Amino acid sequence: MTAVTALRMTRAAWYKHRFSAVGLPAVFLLAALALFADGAGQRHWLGVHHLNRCLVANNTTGGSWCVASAAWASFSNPSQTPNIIAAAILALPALAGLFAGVPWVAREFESGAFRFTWTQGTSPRQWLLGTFGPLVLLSAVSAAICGAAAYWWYQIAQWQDGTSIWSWRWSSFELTPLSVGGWTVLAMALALLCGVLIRRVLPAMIAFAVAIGACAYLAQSWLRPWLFGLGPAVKQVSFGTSAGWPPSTTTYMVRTWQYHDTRWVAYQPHSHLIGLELARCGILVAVAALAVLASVWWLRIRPAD
Amino acid sequence: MNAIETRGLGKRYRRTWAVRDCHLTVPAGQVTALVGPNGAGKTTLLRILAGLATPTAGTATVLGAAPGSPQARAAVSAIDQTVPLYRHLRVAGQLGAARALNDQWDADLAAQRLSALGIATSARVGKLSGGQQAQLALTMALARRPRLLLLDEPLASLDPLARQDVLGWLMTCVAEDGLSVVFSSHVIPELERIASYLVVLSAGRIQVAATVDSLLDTHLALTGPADGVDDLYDQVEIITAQRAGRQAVVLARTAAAPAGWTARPVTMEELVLGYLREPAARVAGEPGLEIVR
Amino acid sequence: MFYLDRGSGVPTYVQFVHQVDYALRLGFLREGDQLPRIKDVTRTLAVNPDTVMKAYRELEFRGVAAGRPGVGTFITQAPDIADLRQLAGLQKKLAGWLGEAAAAGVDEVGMKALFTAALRNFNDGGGAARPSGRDGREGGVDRGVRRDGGAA
Repeated sequence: MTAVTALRMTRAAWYKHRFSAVGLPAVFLLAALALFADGAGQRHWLGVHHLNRCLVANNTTGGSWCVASAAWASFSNPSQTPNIIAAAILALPALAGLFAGVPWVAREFESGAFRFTWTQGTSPRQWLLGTFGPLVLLSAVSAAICGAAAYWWYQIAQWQDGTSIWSWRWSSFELTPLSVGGWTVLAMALALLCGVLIRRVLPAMIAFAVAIGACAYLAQSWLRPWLFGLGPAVKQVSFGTSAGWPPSTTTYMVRTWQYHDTRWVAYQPHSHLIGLELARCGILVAVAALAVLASVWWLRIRPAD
Repeated sequence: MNAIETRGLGKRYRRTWAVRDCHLTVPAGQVTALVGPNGAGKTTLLRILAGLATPTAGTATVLGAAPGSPQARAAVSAIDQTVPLYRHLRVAGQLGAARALNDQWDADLAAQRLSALGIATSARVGKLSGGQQAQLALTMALARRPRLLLLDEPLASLDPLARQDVLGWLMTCVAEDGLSVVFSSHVIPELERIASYLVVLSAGRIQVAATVDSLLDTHLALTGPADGVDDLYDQVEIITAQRAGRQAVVLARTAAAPAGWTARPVTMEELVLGYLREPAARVAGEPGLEIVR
Repeated sequence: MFYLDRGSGVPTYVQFVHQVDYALRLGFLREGDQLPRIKDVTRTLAVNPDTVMKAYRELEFRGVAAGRPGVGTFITQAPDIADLRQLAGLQKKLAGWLGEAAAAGVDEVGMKALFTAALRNFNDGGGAARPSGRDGREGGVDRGVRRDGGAA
């Protein structure tokens, strides 16, 4: 597809899907704005009450001064709110795919409008990629912005759910630009595939919900443990001693084993976080690319009837 | 170059063949009428030619290119039976999308025609009447400056005056730009003055595919005694015979009337209805008259 | 100037040829007049342009009209018929006959039948003048277009 064609397709997409093209990034950006506002508010509050020194890694109790402080007690009062908000943020890619991505493709077929689109000067493949591509790009970028805002927000909010601070817990790992962006790309690609396979809006939405749910489940139960087993650091731990153990509370323990009297621990230190994030994002994007290729191939063998 | 060429074209849906063994050679510059009972395969044939359906068997070319290829898309405009449009858009948005999707676009023509028809650009496409939507679709199809126009009963929703106006516009495009038109129609009486090529489809197979001139030249309406019809079957090729009391009127493919029968030229209407009554009768493609412009 | 008689069963181009013939005979069309442009006819009557072209070629074949490329089709020669004064006299006599028939109680259909029968008898006797082709050949009206390309 040449640059000229891509531009024309974008213009055509703008006419047809103005609502999605504006609404979808708007949702992500509004969420980012809300997170930014809340995070800034929290930071300001902490600064006013001189509680910044209490936010020390590996120190859930915050030291004796922090423990005694009433402000700190009210701040760190355990609540489910951070987890709920985190889950809501992570639901956004799926919702984007469900309500913007699937109808984008499926309605074209269901309403019969494809019989107009495909008798103009562009081919079905050009139409599909050329109009869907910009939407995916736009939503990936706005999702990444939302993920960055969520990461920034969570640096403070993670202190509020009453559990230990740990860079590998699900909310810490998922609320990043790479994660939210990657999931959005995968969701849109799956939406495309569902729309092209099942050319009716409602059944395609159901299929998409099943597909993205399956992907989320697989990512959590299979992909995550597998990823965290990749290239761990190894540390020898003396038997019966607590020196050097745990390696640090922000690390993820992969396994321990013992040989004679010596114990070893395989773990993922905090420094590996960015590498594993990239790996996971890469896998999501690769699966998304496969879904797009499958859509294009399916469109070629069964274009209209 | 031929406007349409098909060889052994067939399309199967699950287990039934919608069209089968279609051999067509329609020269360029013709106005072709596609006639047949409902379910005969007209829509399927038009969709294949428009690139909206892939054939199961055989080949088809439009203006020398495969249907759905970039060359075909640029030169062929098609309006499907369902009059597909983006119904949630306003007319201006629909035109904008069409313009963005096409290399060649005559915006002035579109604007002039829509204002002459009284269709406001701020109106919502879905709220237009059926006739107005058909007019909009036709305007857009012709604003692309095609060389071949495929119409699947799109004029059915137009009132008589609008229909006359649209047909007049189409015929003028044929005269001025050499546009080829293929349209499916149920209105037999108007075929004689509009069509120059006739294709009759019956149960998915082509019954007739020839120029109107050659058909009218090679067929006669014979009148004679009803009890002479059986003998007549040995003398001439009878398409259909209708008895009324002691008299019979026979549509035959012959040059002269045999003894005992009077011949008169057959009208287009009689010819088409005769073939439609007898699905088993067939006319192989005849070379058309060379139209010198 | 052209019109369509849709129910008549007469092919459209034949109707056009007849209409030009009548116009010539009644003096509405004269030598040098331009026949309507093809695209004007197609727009107003919604007929295939080939039909109009066929009519014009038939007229050319008869030597009545000639086409000038890029300009149009023009009447070249009014048919060699009785002059206008004779025509007026004939029309008056015909009106007289119609008055007599009406007085005798013959209705319109009866008048047409009488006239048609008389005309057929007259033609069978070889009476009426026939339209002549460019080379003096006879031109028919029923299927005037020929497979070999007609008038070159």
